[in-house]
Amino acid sequence: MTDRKRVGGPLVSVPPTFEVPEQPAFTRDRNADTCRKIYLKLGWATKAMGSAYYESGKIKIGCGVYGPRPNKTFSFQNIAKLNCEVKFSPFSMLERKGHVQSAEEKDYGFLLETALSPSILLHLYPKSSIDVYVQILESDGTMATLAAAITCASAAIADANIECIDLVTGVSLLYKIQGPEYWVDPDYMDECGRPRPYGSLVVGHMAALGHVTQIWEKGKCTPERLKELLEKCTETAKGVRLVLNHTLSQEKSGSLVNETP
Amino acid sequence: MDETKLFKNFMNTTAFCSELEKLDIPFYRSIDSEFSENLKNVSLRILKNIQLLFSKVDKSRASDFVDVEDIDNRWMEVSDTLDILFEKTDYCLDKAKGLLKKPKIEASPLPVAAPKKQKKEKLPYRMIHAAHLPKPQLRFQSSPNNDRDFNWFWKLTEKPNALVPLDKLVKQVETDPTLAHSLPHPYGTEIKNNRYPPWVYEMVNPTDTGSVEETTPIWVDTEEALKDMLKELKQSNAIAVDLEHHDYRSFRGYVCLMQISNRKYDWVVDTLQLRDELQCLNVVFTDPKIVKVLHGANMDIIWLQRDFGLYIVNIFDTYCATKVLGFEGHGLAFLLKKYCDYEADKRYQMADWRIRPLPKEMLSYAQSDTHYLLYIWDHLRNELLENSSKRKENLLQSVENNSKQIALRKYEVEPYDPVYGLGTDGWRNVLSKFGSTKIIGKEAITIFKALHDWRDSTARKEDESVRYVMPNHLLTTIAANKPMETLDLLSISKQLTPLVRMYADEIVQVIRDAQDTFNKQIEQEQSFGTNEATSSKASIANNAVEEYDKTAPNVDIFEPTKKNVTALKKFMANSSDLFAAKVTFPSTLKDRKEKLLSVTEKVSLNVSPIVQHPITEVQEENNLKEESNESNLQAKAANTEKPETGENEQDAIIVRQLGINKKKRPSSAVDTNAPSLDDVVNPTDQALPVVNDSEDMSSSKKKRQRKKKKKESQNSNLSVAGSEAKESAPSSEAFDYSNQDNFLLKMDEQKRVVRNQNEKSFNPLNRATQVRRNVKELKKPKVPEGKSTSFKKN
Repeated sequence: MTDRKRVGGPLVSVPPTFEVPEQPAFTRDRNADTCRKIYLKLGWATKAMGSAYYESGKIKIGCGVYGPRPNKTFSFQNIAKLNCEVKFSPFSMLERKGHVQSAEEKDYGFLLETALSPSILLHLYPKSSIDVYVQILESDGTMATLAAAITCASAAIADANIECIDLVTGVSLLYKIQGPEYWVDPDYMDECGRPRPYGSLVVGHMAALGHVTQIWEKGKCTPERLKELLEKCTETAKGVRLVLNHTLSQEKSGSLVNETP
Repeated sequence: MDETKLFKNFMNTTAFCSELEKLDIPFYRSIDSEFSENLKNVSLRILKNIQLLFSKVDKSRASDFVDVEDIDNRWMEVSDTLDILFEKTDYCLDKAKGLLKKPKIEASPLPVAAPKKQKKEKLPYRMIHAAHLPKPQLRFQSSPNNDRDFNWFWKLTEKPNALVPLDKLVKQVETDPTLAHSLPHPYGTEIKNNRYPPWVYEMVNPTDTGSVEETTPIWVDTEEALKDMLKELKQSNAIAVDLEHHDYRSFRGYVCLMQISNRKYDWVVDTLQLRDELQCLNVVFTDPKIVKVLHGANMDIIWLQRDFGLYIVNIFDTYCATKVLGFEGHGLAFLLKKYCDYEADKRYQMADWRIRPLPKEMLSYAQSDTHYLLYIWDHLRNELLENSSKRKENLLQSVENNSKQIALRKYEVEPYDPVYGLGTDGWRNVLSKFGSTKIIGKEAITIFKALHDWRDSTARKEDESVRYVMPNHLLTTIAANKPMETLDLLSISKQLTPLVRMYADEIVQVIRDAQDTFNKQIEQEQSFGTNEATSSKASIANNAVEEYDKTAPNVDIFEPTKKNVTALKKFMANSSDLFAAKVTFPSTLKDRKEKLLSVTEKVSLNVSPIVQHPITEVQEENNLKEESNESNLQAKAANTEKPETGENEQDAIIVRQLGINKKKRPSSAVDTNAPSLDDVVNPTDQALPVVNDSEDMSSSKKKRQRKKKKKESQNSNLSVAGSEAKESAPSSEAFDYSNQDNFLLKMDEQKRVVRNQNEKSFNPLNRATQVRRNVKELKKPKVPEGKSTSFKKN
C-alpha cells in the first residue's frame, strides 16, 4: 500500500534553474560578525506544553515541547529523560527530504540533547520524560540551522515552564582553515561558495552563567584560534540571548515580577 | 464454585498483580507509609499461607520459612512443591477417570550409542605440578644465575668434530668487545658447511622398530650408563632426540629429561642427575655422519646450549618436513597417528617432569616421543623424495636448509627492559595481551609497570617463573584495582599465588610508591605548564581559567540598559515572513497572562533579575511553590468534611490507579486539568486565527467531552475539591506564604509519623509525592471508579 495520507513528491527532483546574470560565487550582505536578524514567537502550538517559532533569514523552525509527562518506559528513573527529535520538512532544503527520519536527523537530535540537557533541572522530574520536537520548515546552512534549533528548543522549554538553571542559545560559525577569515551564522551560500577547506563550529552557550554546553567542531584549528573563534561565538550568543530574553519577557511577563525592558 | 467463576477470579488477581510494576514497588513504599504498611500485611499473609502449605505437605519443613525475605529468595522451593502437588493431582484425576492404561507394547530402551571419543580427563594435579617437591635446581653444581645483567658464556669446554677450533673462537670473542653481548655460534661454520650423507637422499624401506611396549627404555642416571649409551650411539647412523623441559618453578627453566633413540634402543637420560656430564654427547651430536632427527627443535636447540653446552650438527627436523609437505597437521601426535597408528597422550606434555622416580605412564610417554621418530623419518624422507620428483624441486634440500636455520639458533639472555617493555615477557606485551581493557590511564600504567618490575625481580630472587609469582591476569587485575591496603589486595581474587600472599605488604608498598611518583610527575608537569603559560605572551590557559572562575551569573543581559537595547535592535527582527505578526494571534498579552495564571502547576523560569545564585533561587522557588500547592491542598482538606478519611480514601485509590497512569498521556491532561477554567479564560484553540471545519468539530467535541467529565467529576467529592483548589489558584498571587503553616507537616503530626523534612534544600521525596498527587488529580475525573471495580462488576 502506498502512503495516501501524504503528498509524495517525485523521489528525484531538480530545482528549476533560472537564468541569472553572472554574479560572484557568494553574496553576503552583512559583515562577518553579524548574524541574521532573529524573529522569535512563543506559544503557537496550543497542544504542546511549550512551543516556539524561530525565524532568521530563510531559516524557519518550529519547536514543540511536551512534558514533563510520565515516562513510557516502565523502569524507574530518578531523573527526567530528555528526548529531542529533529525533523526536516520534505521541502526544507533544495533536495527533497524523506518522511522517514534519516541518520542525519537522528544525529542532530543527539546534538540537541547534549546541548540542552545541562540547562534543564532534570532531577526535579523523576519518572517523567520531556520530549522536544523540532520541525525545520526551511533550512539555510546546516550549521546555522542546528544552532537555530538549539535556540528555538530552549525558548520552547522556557515556554513550557520547565525549570532550568539557564537558557541555551546556539551560534554557528564558519572559518577558513588557511587564513584568518571567519563568518558568523553562515547561510547556505556561505557554506557552498566559500573556498575550501573550511572548518565549522556550532556552540551552545548559557549566557547568564557563561557556560558553554556544547561545541561541535569540524576542521583543523589551533587551540589559540579556537579560543578566538569561541569568543566570537559567545559574543553572538549573548546577543541572541537578548532576543530570547526580550521575547520571553514580552510574552510571558504576566507570570513574572512586573519588570519589562 | 464453577470453572468460569474461578477463572474470573484468577484473571482479577493477575490483573491486579500486573497493575504495579515490580521495580516501582520500593519507590512507592518509600514515599507512602500506608502503601508500605499494606504491602507488609500482604507479605505476612502470603508467608502464613506458605507456612500452611508446607505444614500440610511436609511437617518438618513448616518452620523453614521464617522471614518475608525467604519468599523472594526461596520461591523456587515453593513453586517446586506446588508443581509436585499439581502433578500428583493430575495423576490422581487421570486415574479416577480411568484414562491411565498400561501401554500395550513396552518400548525397548534405545541402545546407548557408544561414546565416540571419550574426552580425556585432566591429569591429576600432582602430575601437572608437584608443588611440594624440593627444587632440583638446588642440587645443581652451579646454581642458576638470574641476575638482570648476567652475561652468559658458552658452556662448551671441548669442541669435537671442529672445523674451527674452540681456542680460536674464544680469542676472537675476547679481542672483539662487540661480540661480548652477542656471541657467535660456536658450531656455526660446521653447521653451515654440513650436508646430509648421500644415503639420506635414497629411498628406503622404513624399518619398523616395533611398538613402545616391546622395547623397555634404558634409564640413564649414572656416568657408566651414559658411557654405554654413547658407545652404542657412535655406531648408529641416525638417532632421534627429544627433551622435556620445566620452567614453572624456575626463572630460566631447565631440561628435566632427554630421550634418545636409535633403531635398537630407547634411552631416557635423567638430565637433573647428569646435568654437568652430558657435554660428552657433543661427540655424537656434532658428528656430521650421524643424522639427528628431532621434532620441532626450535626450543630444544636453545635448551641444549644453555644447560649442557650441546650443539647439533646434521639435524633433520620432522616439523620442517611436515611444513614442506603441506600436511594438515604438524604435531608429533599427528605423525604418530599417520604412520604408526599410535595415540600419543599429549596431556603429558604439560606434566611436571621433575618428579623422580618417574611414573610409568610418563616414562612410556617420554619413550614414545623418540621411539617412532626414526621410522617416521624414513617415511617422511620417502615422501619428500617422491614429491621432489613430482614437483621437480628438491624438497629434501629445503628441509635440510630449514633445519640448519634451526640448528643455528643461539641462546641469548633476554634483558629486562623497564622503559620500553620489549621482549616476550616485557610489560608492553603483557599489557597489550591481558590489560588492554583493564589498564586505562597514565596512572594505571605507571602502577602496572611498577608491579611488573616487582614481579620480575621477585621471580629472579626466588628463582621462580614470573607465571608462578603472579600470573598475567592477576597482574592486570591488581594493577587495575590498585589496592592501597594489604587486606584489599588479599580480597582481590580467590586465586592468589602463595608468593603474592607472602609479599602482600611489599606489593601494596610498590603500588603506593608508584602512585606517589605518578602524582609527583603530574605536579611537576603542571607547574611546568603554568610556568610556561605565564611566561608566554598569549597565556591562553590562564585566561580561560580566569574567565571560567567567574561563576557568578551575568546579570547584565537581563537589564534594560542602553547597550542591551541597541544590541537587541541589531539582533531582533520585528516581523516574520511566515508569521503575520500583525494578525491578532490568540495570545495577546492579556490572554497570555490569563493562560499563564491558569497554569498553576509550575512557576516559570525566572527570566528577569536573577540573583547571585540561580540554583538556590530556583530551589527556593520550588519550596514556595510547594507551599502554595500544600496550601491548596489544605483548602481542599478544609472543604471536605472528614479530611482524615478522605485522605485515606485517596491513597487507596492511588494504589489502584497507578497502573492506569502508565498508559495515558498527560498531554490530554492539559484539557482536563482545569475544566472549570475554560469558561473563564478563552480556550486558546478556539481563538486560533484559522479554524478549519474539522478543527471546529473537534473542539466542540472536546467541549462536550469536557462537560461530561465535569459532570462525572462532580460526582466524586475529591475532584471537586481539586477543581476548587485550581480555581483558587489564580488568587494565590497575593497569598501570604510566610503565615501559612506547612500542611504536610501537620498531616504527619496527625498520623504521628516522624519524618525528617529538610525545608530549604531540595527534597525528592516531597517532590515525588506532589507529582503523584497531580497525576492522580488529572486522572481522577476520567475513570472515576478505577479499573479494579470494572473487574469486580464482572
